[in-house]
Amino acid sequence: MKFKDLIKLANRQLFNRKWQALLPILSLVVGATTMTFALGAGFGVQSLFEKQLAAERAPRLLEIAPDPSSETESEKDRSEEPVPKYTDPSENKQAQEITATLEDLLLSDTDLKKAAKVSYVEEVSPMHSINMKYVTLEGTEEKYTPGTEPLFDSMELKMLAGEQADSSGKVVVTEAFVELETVGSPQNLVGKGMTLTYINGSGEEEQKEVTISGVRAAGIASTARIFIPYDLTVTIAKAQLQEGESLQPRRAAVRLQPDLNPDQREQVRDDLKATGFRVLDFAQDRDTVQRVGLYLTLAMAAFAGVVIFAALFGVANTMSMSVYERIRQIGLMKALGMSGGTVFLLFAMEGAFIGFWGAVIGIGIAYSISAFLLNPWLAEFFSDKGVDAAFQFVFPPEWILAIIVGLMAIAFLASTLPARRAAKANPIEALRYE
Amino acid sequence: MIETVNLTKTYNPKRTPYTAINNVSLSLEGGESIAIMGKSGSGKSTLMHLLAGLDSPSSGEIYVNGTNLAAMSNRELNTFRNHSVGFVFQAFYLMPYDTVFENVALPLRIRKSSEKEIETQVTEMLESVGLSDKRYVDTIDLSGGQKQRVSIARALVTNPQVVFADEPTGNLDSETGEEIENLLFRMQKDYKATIIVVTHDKDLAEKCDEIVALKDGQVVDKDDV
Repeated sequence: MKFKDLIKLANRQLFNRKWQALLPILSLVVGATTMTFALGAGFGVQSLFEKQLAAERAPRLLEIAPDPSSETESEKDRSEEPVPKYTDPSENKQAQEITATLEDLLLSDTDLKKAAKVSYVEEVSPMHSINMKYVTLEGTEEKYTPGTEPLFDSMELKMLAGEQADSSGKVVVTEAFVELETVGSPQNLVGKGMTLTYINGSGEEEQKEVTISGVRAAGIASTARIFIPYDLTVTIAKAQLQEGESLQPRRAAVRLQPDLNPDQREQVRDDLKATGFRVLDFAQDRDTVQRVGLYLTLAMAAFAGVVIFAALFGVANTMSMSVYERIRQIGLMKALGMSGGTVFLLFAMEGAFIGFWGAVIGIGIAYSISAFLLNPWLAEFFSDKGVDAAFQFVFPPEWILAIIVGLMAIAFLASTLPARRAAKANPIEALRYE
Repeated sequence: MIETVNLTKTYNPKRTPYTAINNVSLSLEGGESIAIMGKSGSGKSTLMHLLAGLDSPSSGEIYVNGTNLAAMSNRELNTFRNHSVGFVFQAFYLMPYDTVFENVALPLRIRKSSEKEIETQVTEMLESVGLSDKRYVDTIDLSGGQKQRVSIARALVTNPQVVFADEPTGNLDSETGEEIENLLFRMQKDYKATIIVVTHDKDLAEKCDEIVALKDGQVVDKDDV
């Protein structure tokens, strides 16, 4: 028998017994729906982070700060007496302690050197907080106070328009600027002049003229920010120093070697923490949330697996009944020259179609609920909360196909025992008229 | 041309041996209608199963147009049945929820004929048995006589050498039975096939060109049955 005819016949056979097949199909539907939701949620989390990562891709950058909690804790431990001793209040120990704590919050050159020695670390750049008074856009008098962030070469921002700033005279702004009345479209911002105004060390206003080289696409959050090239932030920070002061960085950017895997990144984080730093890392958040997402997905998938496993007994049972009910037809087909192998395939394929319909209906239900109910609701929910990139269920077509093929394959396997009995049926016995 | 040499079939040879066919040697002309006649338990069904390649003999040989069935593998027997044998059963054994067309097409589908061949051969066969207008009707909706016409069409659509008809009129009233008998004999002549009718009905057997009478697994004179 041609495979095409075999498929047609198997499908017809299933359709003729649709009421008997309904129960295992329904249980597979439950499994497939759960499985599809699990996948949709898993890929949803992933795509959410891909969106954010695409907006600000800097997996090679970590931020470190001193970790005063561990430092003071240990010092305190050392000075701890069994019974607290009396100290003269005139020594003003409290004030000393506060100064010490403040110093603990700064990164010294030794700290930076220590950080640079951690394996996989390529470069450590101290980050200086700059105090912007306001900025003005070319052509308007309006003064704005957006946040500022240093821009490193190893960052890859997802640009909406223009390009990433490559020299000190250029900056990148976030999408929020596009919403300004005078702007209109991201293209209009590119090439526009911008004046950065800050107070210098002598207490006078100082200005820096820069050009907007590009607009960064909004990520999960779309606050108004200016990405200022690192060199320029250093220049401004130096200008803001008062007489006798020196640069006192509180945080530093750590650039990692390229192409590290998550385990190596984890090791760097651990090493930095062990050296006495607090590690602020966007990639870590992503890793953590992705892991939580993965566990959730796995839990749902495991539930789906149990449901599907139970459903397979239903498939096997239904197929057993099918073979029993059709024993005459099996006898006839064998008498007409159908080989045992073809009979086997015919019944195993009928079982596979139970899997097929279970998967298709289940996916259809999960997809419809997500596309028409959950996703619009989630989008609204997140936008009410001021988040641009809402969590959405995502269904990659190749995985949807994999669910269908997978369910067909296991339903096929579940049908092999009944199908084998059909294949071995003796035509004479089967056709004996009673 | 069908020949058997010392054909014996014993069931349960180890525990309770029962010899259904006992040392039968036959020589039957091709292109004729032959009746295998006998009472229930005479071994006529067993003989038919052996001649049709559905069962293998305990000893002896079966030659159908010179090929020895007893020496064939399962696969060869499947091909032999598909290409050279047709069946008409008392209980029809149709696919009840398939159309008349699909039922007749089944043996052609099993042998992987092309869609075009199937179309022309089935159409011609349905015309011969007078069911052209029922082409797309599910067989469960047909009357007994119509069902047997479908199985006759299915038996002859492959242009077989031998058609086995096992009590072909057993489930039909006498009028329809006669119609089916006439159709069967007409088709046998039109398609120049050998037809072997297995029956306990002496009237039907006598309409055949030749009668093989069986009693207790052995060939006897037809008047002894």
